[in-house]
Amino acid sequence: MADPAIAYAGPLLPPGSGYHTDLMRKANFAAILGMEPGEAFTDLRQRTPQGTRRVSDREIRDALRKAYSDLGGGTFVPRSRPKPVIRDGKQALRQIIEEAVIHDEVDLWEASPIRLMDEPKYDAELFLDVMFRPEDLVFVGTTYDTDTIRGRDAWIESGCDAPHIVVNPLSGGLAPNKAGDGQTHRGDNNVVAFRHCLVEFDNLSHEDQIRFWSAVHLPIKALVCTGGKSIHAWIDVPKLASVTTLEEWDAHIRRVFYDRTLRPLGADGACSNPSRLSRLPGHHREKTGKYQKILWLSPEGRPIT
Amino acid sequence: MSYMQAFEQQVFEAGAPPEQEPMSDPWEGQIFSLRDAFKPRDPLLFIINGLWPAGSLSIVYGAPGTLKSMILGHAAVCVAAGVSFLGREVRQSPVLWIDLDNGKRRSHERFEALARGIGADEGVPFYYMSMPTPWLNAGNPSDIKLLAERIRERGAKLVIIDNLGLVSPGADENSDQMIQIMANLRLLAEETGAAIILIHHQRKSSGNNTRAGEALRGHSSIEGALDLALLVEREEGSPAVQIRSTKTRDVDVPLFAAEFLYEHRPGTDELWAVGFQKVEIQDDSSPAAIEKALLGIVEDHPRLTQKEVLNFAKSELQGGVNLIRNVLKKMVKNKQLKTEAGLRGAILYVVN
Repeated sequence: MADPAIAYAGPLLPPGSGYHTDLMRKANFAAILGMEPGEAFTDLRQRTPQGTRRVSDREIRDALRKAYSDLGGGTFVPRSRPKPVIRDGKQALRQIIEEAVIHDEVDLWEASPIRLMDEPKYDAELFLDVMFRPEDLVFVGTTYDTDTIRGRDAWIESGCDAPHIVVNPLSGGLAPNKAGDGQTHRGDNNVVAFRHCLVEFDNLSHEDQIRFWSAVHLPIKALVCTGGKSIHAWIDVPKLASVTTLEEWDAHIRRVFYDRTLRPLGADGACSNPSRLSRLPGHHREKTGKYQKILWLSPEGRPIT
Repeated sequence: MSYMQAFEQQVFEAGAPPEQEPMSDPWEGQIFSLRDAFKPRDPLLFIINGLWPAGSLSIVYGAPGTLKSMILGHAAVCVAAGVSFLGREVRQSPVLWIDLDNGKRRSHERFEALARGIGADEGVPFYYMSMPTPWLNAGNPSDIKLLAERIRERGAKLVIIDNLGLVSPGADENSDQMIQIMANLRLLAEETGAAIILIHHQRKSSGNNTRAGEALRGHSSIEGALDLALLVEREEGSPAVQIRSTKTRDVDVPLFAAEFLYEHRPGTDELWAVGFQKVEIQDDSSPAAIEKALLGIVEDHPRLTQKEVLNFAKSELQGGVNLIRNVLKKMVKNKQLKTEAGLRGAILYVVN
């Protein structure tokens, strides 16, 4: 194990390039070293370098809170993860990818049960219409917005254009945040129907992501190109398991679906919460100069091939 | 099956190690029955009549300076050119010589002179490697496999390896490390159908009373693996060499001899033309010669005791007393001779 003092003192990775994981690590070492949480916060805040995204005070506080609460009597008590389905996730991922018959966006577009428009700039309306119900309240906004929540049709009528959308309908009201020290409009406790979960791969080429999603036996409702290299898959949760509470989400989606199968394959485990932000199709992403767009869309979750 | 189960199943199967092909029987078709044994077979095909059959493993050995490499070189070019060897018929075939001892220059000179000695031209299918890189290691199965390919490519039916010690790098020739090396060489003979001849050295000293094969240097597995072991002997300075068999599996090889003939390139010590010619020799040391002599002694002097027979034989023969005694016992067993009881339990020999 690394020397805690040395590990804590090292530079933090820039936001947008692995910062959050590094922050968690340093927060854990701060707890092991017995630093005062306030002192650790000030130190980490000052040492946070410039990056491609803004780091809120809350993110640092949450990291420290989690680290200090996980440290019981000076020893970490890690939560046990379910045993993965497979030992060699890379091999399994490669095997699944090799089974694919669809290799590019054009074939995916052709295979989409709902005919997609040539121009992605109107994708948001189509997407909201297919993925949500008229009575649903939906968050659409930026990462800094917290309460831009409206009914589905209101968003459609207003011609919404924002980078993000929460994958499940919300209550519209306030509920306790994850840290338990405040309230929020778009946390996991605000989710009123657990219809979708988001799956994303960090380190897979765009083509391999297409091949993977076209080969897996999963109830997929949508594949969304983020305007970067990633694809966000919206999975039909009721077709995976009966989930009506956060506890059931934790038991079936996070612990079984993610931890047993998706994580070993290399999926981003950070996406496993029900109030996850995804990319809203139809938004032009300035950073890449590309549209976020629908690649494949189905009103009911089903495998692509 | 739910989607969750189906997905888990898919991932599980994708992550499982690839299914092994059912193991095939590597020895399929290699177990014979008596039905195979009773099938007619082609007669043993000799590359040089009465000496080396196809698919055999043999050794020619002797002390340094006994011309063992030279006489084998003569045999090799004779086979390649289809010329009889010391009066024995040959089956004309390509020949491969692997020299790990003499070097390229000496090999070129020798083989040129040997070929010239029998009037062979450069079109004769005689091939040789000298000091190959990488070195040939008979202990390495992949080397043997590669060598087998080279032999098959050229259709060689006679392969000479000069010499056994150098083709077994790192192996102690007095240890059981030689078992695998000899097994590999035996496999080479089987797989190529060629007569494989190894050149080897003689043990420095072996007493007169020892078995003839014990003159062969190294672990007993060397002799055990052989079809034929020929010992080459030469008196110092003499142009004549004697060759006698110290182990044989197929046919008895009576002692034979040859005289070394050579010409130098004018004005140099370089060999110009070399060869051997057959020399008639009186055999007084081979088992066949001993047997013949013993039969004559007992015919001429019936009812001699064993001691008397051995004394007579020793005065006529070169073989050690142990060899003579063994031949005598064998003749009784084979009913060529019979014994009678003499006074005070003495054994007396008579012709059967």
